[in-house]
Amino acid sequence: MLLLCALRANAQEKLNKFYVIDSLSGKAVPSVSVTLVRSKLSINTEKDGIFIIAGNLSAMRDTVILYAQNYRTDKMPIRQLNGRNTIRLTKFVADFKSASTKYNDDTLLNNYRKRDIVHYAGVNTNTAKFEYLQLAQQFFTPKPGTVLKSIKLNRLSFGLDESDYTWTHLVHLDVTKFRIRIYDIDPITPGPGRDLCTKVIEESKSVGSQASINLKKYNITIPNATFFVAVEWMRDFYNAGYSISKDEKGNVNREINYRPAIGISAVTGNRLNIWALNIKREWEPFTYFMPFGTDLAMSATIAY
Amino acid sequence: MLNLSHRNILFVYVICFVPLFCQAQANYDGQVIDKATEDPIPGVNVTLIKERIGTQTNKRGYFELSSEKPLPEDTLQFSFVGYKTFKLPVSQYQSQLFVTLEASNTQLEEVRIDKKRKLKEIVLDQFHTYDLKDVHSQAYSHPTEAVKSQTALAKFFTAPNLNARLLKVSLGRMDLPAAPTYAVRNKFTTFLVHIMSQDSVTHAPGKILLTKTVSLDDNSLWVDIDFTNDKFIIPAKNFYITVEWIINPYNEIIGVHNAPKVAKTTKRGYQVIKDASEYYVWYQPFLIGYNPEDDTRRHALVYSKNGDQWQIFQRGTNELAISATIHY
Repeated sequence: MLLLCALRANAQEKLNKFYVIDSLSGKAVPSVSVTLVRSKLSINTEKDGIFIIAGNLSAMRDTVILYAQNYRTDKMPIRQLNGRNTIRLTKFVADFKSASTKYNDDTLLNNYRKRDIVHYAGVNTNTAKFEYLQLAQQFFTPKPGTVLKSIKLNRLSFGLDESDYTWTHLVHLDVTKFRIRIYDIDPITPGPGRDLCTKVIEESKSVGSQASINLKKYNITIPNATFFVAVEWMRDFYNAGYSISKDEKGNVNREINYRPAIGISAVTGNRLNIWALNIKREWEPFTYFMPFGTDLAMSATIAY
Repeated sequence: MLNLSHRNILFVYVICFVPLFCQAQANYDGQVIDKATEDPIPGVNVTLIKERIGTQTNKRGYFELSSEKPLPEDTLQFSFVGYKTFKLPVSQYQSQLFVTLEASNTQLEEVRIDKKRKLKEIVLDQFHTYDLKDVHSQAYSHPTEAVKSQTALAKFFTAPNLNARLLKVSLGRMDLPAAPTYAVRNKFTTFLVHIMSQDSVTHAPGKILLTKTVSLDDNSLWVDIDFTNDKFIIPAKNFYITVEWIINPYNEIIGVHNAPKVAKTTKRGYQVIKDASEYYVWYQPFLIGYNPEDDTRRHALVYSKNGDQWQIFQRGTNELAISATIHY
């Protein structure tokens, strides 16, 4: 159960509790992304599918977006939630052709050196607040019809080794979980479009700076000569921490900051290949590290 | 207090620290400098003899060598025309080593000293390689500190005469240790260096006389900023050298604290349950503060900028590793 406005709530405010359930089965939908667009607040529910919004809903002027993978996105004025306690999300069925051909040649896309990574996206800084739900790396393949076999990415980690007793009490600072999303190109935007994998790919209890994720069992075929791999933040209690930043006047801001932070490749390309899903659930080019940060520290192995 | 020569410092560096070769991959970095002048030596060949890999130092004398298959018995070799070759077993390597090379021809060295004398160069607030690193032993302690700001720091200088020509500004740039640590290591930075007058009324920094943008892309501790081509004449005896920070993503360094508590919602409302990570952001560069061995030396006067006002900057060490080489 998560409180959407945790930092703003006080004892006198009414707490409005909601259950997000599957419209057919009636079961709780876990890890639903609940976003208040105007307030720029976003959380993920836990397994119980419950979230709380504090305050008088009928007086609020905001839009709420509820999203879960493989469900239709639900978007409405927040006042429409007044008097309700259940929200039903409708599943949609995607039509996918599984890969059956044998592929031999492996190709590594967007390779980088781990030790060169010095910049990370996902932390509120003095210059900008990180207000994105996903970050996606665009890859380009030699030809259409390849198969995505694995990905590797690097994230912010402080090397707090669990086997070293001097760091044991701090190891939890490095632990995180996140999801991986695979997208086709949207022919209009031309950012990330439809999902290329409907299965939930979750990296849980991730420790250490590098995550290597084997995707063979998902049989992900890339229909075009480009695709996107995104990190989806799980904005829940498990990943919740803080960030300290200062504004121009030197005032200190202490805000909730969700792990992980994703590395930026030190190899600078000619074009920007990072896309970000903003609070409105719209994809936009991620320009924060331009011109020196054009790619995430994420590589992909494909076969064809 | 011990009098530590450069050779002794190098000895302390290489003997007292824990070997790092036990990792699967080993990274070696440091700066190669001239033993007599403490100037960086670019183009030095740095080689791992047994593994047969090598690199060359850059214009700041900095090298970085990565070994995929480190051999515990291997040796780092530093060689350059006109200098005696220096060999260092990797078992004695310490991160960000200062390697001092001695000229192989003493006649060359004498010529260089004569040349300097003719140019009448002096270094104001000179610091040395051994000032830039922490040394802790039972007999001797030399702590350093990271001096940082998010605005600007100005250090006061006094030249012997009016109209001295500025040739070079040197500064010590602190690096952060490798993992496990509480902060990311970022070798990239861009910042501004201003030469400023002294305000006749407040004696604080006054007008900006000259500005230079400095961009660094390595972890060298010793940074020389060349002003010879600027042909800049310092009009008064008293002046300031100011480092101005640029607050942008390029200069970010992210660190982590153990935050006290985080709130979780329960059926009774929300409550505090466990501790969590707390990220903080600093901006490069970090300058080096140190305590000079000579206690009779005047403590550095440093101002920091707060809005449009300059105020005395309090710090834990007496000196700030910024020097000015002038010609008069």
